[in-house]
Formats: sequence, C-alpha cells, structure tokens
Amino acid sequence: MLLNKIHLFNFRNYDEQQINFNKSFNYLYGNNGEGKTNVLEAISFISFGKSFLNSSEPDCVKFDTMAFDVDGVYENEVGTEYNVHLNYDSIQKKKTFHLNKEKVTRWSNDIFGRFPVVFLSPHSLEITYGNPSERRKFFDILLAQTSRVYLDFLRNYVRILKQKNALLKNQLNGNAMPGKEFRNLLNSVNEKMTEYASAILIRRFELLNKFKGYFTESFSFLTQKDDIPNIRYYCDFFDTDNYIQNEEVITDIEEVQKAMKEAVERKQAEEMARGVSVVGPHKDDYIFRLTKNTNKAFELKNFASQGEHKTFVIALKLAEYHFLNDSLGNAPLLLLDDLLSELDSERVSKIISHLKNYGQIFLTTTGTGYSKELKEFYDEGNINYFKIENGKVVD
Amino acid sequence: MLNISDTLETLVTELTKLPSIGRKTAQRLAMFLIKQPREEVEKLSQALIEIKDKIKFCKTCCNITEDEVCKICSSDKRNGASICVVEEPQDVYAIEKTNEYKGLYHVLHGRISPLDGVGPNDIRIKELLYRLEDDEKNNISEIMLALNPTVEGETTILYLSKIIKPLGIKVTRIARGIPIGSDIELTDQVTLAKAIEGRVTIL
Ligand SMILES: [Zn+2]
Repeated sequence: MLLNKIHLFNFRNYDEQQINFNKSFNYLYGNNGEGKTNVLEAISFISFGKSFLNSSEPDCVKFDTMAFDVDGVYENEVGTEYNVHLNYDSIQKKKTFHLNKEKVTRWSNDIFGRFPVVFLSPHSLEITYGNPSERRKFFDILLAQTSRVYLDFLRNYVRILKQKNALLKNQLNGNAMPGKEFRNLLNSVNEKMTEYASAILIRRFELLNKFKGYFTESFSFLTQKDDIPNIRYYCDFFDTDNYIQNEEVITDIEEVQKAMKEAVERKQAEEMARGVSVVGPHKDDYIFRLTKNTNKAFELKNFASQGEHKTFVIALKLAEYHFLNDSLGNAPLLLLDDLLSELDSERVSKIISHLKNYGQIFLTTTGTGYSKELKEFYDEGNINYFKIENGKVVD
Repeated sequence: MLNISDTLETLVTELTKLPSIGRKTAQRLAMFLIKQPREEVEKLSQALIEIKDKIKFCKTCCNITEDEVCKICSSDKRNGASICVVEEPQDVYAIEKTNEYKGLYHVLHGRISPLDGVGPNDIRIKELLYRLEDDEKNNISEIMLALNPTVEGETTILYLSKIIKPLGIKVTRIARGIPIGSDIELTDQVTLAKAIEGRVTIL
C-alpha cells in the first residue's frame, strides 16, 4: 500500500496542510516540537483508527478549535485509490470514518488491517522495557490485523473479563446474590472465559511460531555477533515448553481448556477474596532472551544493555513489517520516528543500506544529516524532503 | 445556562431518561411538542398513561399483553411442548413474523450482565423455572434459546443451560450463520468462522 497524500485540518499544531508524498522515501526534518511526529501520528489515525503514541483524541485537536480531520489517499499495488477520512468532534466526543466517501459503520471490518503500518519510535522501547501488557499489545495488534476472528475473540475476552471482575466485586461489596445463583453464574462466566482464552492462547502461540523465523532473520541482520535471540510465550496456567522444544503448535484446544479450568478452580478462593480475576491470557507474557557466545542465556528485561534492547526492538519491528507483508500480501508503510539519532553510526549505515528493501518509508529526524548516505541508495526522484516548522511544511 | 422555564426543563429531563435520547434530542422533542395542538399532546399523554394502566406482563411467558395471559399462551393452536426463550418482547415479534415457529415463548426482559448490575434474579428466569418445574401440566420437551450472540447473551445461554439441564429437558440454541442472500465471499470473517464452527452433516 502507498500513501499518496494526506490532508490535515486542525490536527495538533497544524491549521491546514496537504502533503503529497513520495512513493519511496519521505524525509521529514525540523527541530523538535515543530510537528514532524504529528504527521506520523495522523497517518496512524487513518490506518489504525487511533494514535500509535496512545494520545487521546482531544489532545490531538488544535488549540482553540473543536474538531480535527485527517484525510488520506492510499493506493494499492494495482493502482486503485482509497480515500480514508477521519473526523473527530470534541463536542460530541465522536470519531467518524469514511472510506471512499461512505460512512464506515464497522471499522474493524472495513479499515483495520487494510492499510497496514509499522511504526518505530523511541516509544517502541516500551516493548522490551515495559510491562507484559506492552508485549501482549505488540503481538495482539499484529495478530488482530491478520485475523478478524482473533480480534473478535480478544474483544469478547476483554468483555467477559470485565463481567467476571464486576461479578466478583459485587459479591464482595455487599451487592451479593444468593450463593446458588452466584456459583452457577460464576461457573458460566468461567466456562465462557475459558473458551475465549483457549482460542486466544492457541492463536498467539501459533503466531509466535511463525513470527520467530522473521525475527531471527532481522536480528542476525542487525548484529554481527553470534548472539542468539529467543522469544518464549509464558502462560501461567498452561505449560508451553514441551511444544516449544518440539517446535509444535498447540492443536488440542480441550487440553488448554482443561488446564485453565483447573487453574481457575485452584485460584477460586483467591479470586473471590480479592474480587478480581487472576487466571487467563491477560496475565501472559512474552519472554525475550538472548544467548551470548558465552552460551549463557539471559533475560533481556533484567540484564541487557541499552544497545541490546534497541537491537531487539528494531528487529521486532522489521520482523513485524515482513510478517505483515507476507500474511496480508500488502506492503505496510514504514514509519521511522526519530530512530537514527538513537543509534551508533555503524548500525545507522546498515539500516539505511537495507531500507530500499521496504515499501514506502516515512522518516523523521532533526536535520538533513542522513541525506548523503541516502543518496547512495535513492535517486533524486525517489526521495522527498519536507522541512517542518511550526505546523507547516515550509520547504 | 439560562433556564427559560422550569416546566420545559422538567420535560427535557424526563425525556433524557429514555434510551438513546440525549439532551439535544430531548430539547428538540420538547420544542416540537410545545408547537403541537393541544389534542395531539393529549393523545400522546393518554397513550403514555394507558400503557401503564392496561399493559401487563403475561402471567406465563412475561411478554407484554393486555390480558392476564397473552394470546400466544392462551392459544390452543400452539405447540406447548416447546418454549423459545428471548431477551425482549420485540424478539417475539421478529420470530412470529417468520411464521415458522409454532411453540410458546418466554421473555427474559434482559440478559445477565454483572457490569450493569443485572444478575439472574433481575430478569425473568425464576418465572421460566416455575413453568418448567410445573412440567406435569405443561409437558415441555424442548427449550430453544434465541438470545443475542453477544458476550452477555452467550453467558446467559450458558447459565440457563446449566440450570435447565438437571430437569432433563432438551436445550437447544438457534444457529449462527451466513445471512441468506449474501455471498460467502462478502461475509465477514467472524460470521464465516461461526458458520463453519456450527456446520451440520448432510450425508
Ligand atoms: Zn404469554
């Protein structure tokens, strides 16, 4: 997919700005706070429905105005254009999408996964440094884009989890229902939850198996050392190690359901006492490991250097790109927000030399410092420079 | 904001209590009513009072009716061995329109949702159990659950099947599938996946 142009109205520090993009490389530069990243954030709104930086919509409305609009024109491989329009109205607190002028009622069906984007920014380091929820989010978004069925299971799971927590809390806070009704209802909720949870676990595990190949390749490209990275799915109620060792996928959903059912029964007293659900894939994690040439494996989260974290995250993101490209049959846009300034020059050269293997690229940085290196790989017609100053493209 | 009239304000406040009526819509409705002739407004207020005075819930199936027992429950042309359980009265009308179902109904008036403070005792489950336990007279052989395929609908289905099962009555649920007249190609993945899951043997 290509993004031919974008039109911003009252978005962040932009009044009104149209930007026509290059089909290969878009180099956005300017001082910090002038609005480079805002362009990337606007792209995330029309491809993803929300901000990659987790900003709330009201924060994106220009000061002293009531609404913002982002209007983009995408083009697919065979030249068909798609117009995606997002309006956010801060008075009605409402987001409205239009695809080719038609109102989108079911966003996840019509938009999600159709205009894939991979976003790499300093913020992405949260994937390795942050809480398990950051890692689950990374993989969930990846998986949901390639499977609506997964997205549906995930939504249902989130909903039933809320229902269960409400049920446990009500019972604790004196809004209790009679014991027999409560037990029957808790069993029903647990059963439903187990059904969704098992479907989620099996799909996450299957995805990780596929993803690992992409990841190992990206990682070895970025580093000369013999470090071997690994990602392990950690589930509290189901032992995945046997499957990992034998490189198998989990096929027996009943086995997973049984394991979760038993775990829920074991923890029932704790759940009732605390008024919160403690078993399920909302507690799972992805463990990142690195085996050094000293043959000692260690957990990234606790022992890795900053450089190792960065290499891991960049490898994850490049793998995300290739994975989406292959599974959707549709090249994602690659958004690189202020990435290069964080890396040593050797790795920068390496990444730059590699970028031409990717589709359309949007890079933000403070100066024009990388233009010389880029010239080696991109003809003049294949790169556009945009100087951004105070919410305007000035050059 | 300037309060023009307390009477108007009271009406607007009452109207906003209705489902999916926001303040803006309530104000528009109120202004509309102010401009209507007196007899029109009288007709409306009369109709509102009458639904409270005349409309009751059927003693048997809990559907809305003007009699003690509704027309469906009191009909001798219906198959009393089957009860179709639905969430709301409008679901009864939807199924009746198909002309395909000849059994009886039971209206729950909601679905279980602890998040909204709705437990099993807040909807008409007790009334359903009463009908089933009174089985000598009723001779019910099948409960067909026709609830919405939401997380709450699904949970309610599971809850009902758990408490009905010990009574030895067959419990079924209506199938989820591809809408008639639509192409498989155009059906969304989730509906398609559910349809595959609920496939039936033909040979
Ligand atoms: Zn009735």
